[in-house]
Amino acid sequence: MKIILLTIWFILETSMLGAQTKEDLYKNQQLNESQKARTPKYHFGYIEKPHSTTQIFKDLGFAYGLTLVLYPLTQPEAVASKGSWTRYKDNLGNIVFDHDAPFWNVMVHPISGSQLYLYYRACGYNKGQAFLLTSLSSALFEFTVEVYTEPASAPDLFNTPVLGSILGYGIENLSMYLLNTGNPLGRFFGHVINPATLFWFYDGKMIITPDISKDGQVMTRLYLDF
Amino acid sequence: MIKYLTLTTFIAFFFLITTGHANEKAILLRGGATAAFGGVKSFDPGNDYFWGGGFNVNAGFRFSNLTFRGYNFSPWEINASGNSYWGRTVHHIKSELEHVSVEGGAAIRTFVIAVCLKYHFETLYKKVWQPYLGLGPSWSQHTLKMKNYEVRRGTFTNNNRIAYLTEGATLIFGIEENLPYREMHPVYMEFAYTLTAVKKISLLDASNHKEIESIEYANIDKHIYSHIIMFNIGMTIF
Repeated sequence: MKIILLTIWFILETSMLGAQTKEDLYKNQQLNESQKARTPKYHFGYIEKPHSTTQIFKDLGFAYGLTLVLYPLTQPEAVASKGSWTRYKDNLGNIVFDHDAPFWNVMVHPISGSQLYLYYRACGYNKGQAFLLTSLSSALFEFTVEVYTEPASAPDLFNTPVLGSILGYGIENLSMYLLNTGNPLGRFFGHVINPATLFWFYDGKMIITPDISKDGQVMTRLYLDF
Repeated sequence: MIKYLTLTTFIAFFFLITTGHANEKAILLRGGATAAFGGVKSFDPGNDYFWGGGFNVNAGFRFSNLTFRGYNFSPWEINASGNSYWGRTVHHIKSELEHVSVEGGAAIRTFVIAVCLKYHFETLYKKVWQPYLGLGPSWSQHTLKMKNYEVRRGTFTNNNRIAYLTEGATLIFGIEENLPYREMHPVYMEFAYTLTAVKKISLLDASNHKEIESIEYANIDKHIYSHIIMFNIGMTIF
């Protein structure tokens, strides 16, 4: 209920709060009369840039730290009942075909993989690099974190990066479309499905401002802050 | 073998990223739908073949612009593919472990991983379609949910499943559009034949769907084979 109220508040705050007339409603926005579309204030995209080896290690390390924290938080029963250091030592280095239900192999692992992929894309890696880093992150998690409760799983090692990157590519395109509509509900869901765009490491958000040059030419300036 | 292959793969990934060779032209991700015909030649001959449908995904590394001692490796690609499909009910299949023996119909869910070396031929069919051939090791897992079954030995309930783990090889022949840009999402169509031998059979307890436990397993020393013919169709995602 709180989430619903918060969502309604967010939408109203960003669009129609305090509006009295049609002029008031649109006074902070420009209407694109010919296309009947909103003119958004921001443009969202992905900036691809080169990374040093140190930066790659930092980004990998951040993702690894996140998996280290999130695993016991999301699987407390499994960690408490099945986890032990003896099991960790026995499972280390082993790969098995696990018998998990399709819910885990086809849904949960690809969703996790997609969020890892989107994190690396937000950090400025190209699609190929993001896929490879997702594979490495998944392998690090399977071989050094999840072995506390069960051995590394071959289907998980494959599904998380491959299915996850494909799903991540789809979420990336959908979230960019939603974020660039200028619609507050679109922006809300665009951030929900792609939360990496909310953090400091995402530098693809540009402010669009109209500008008139000295010789009277009208142009659009894009300010990128990183 | 899968352990060393996995370790080598991830070490290669690490070097690809840190040495700057992970450019978008070299790495491919493809996905699409699968129609499969196959089965497990089980403990006794029977009507144990089935049709199934599902999806396939594969990740490849193309040796673009790599020349060594005058040989251009551009047509070669290392590819890891995964196929998941759900089969229609097999009419009769028999499974035996040390303490359990059950036979009857079964719905089969299969997951296949294959690591192949593919060669793309230079010939173009209708100026667009480029044929390719691939071969490599594969592993598959068939999970059987028994229906209309008869328990010959031991205890077996509706919450139990039988899982076959197999190892073998996959041969792929297909055609793919040879387009100038990846963003055009080239389409591919291929036939894959997977022949694997059953290595292990497990009895599973699926009463808790969140956590499926293995109750009993047996390493197989008999010649029990799994044959799968798959038709995969899809496109390059990026």
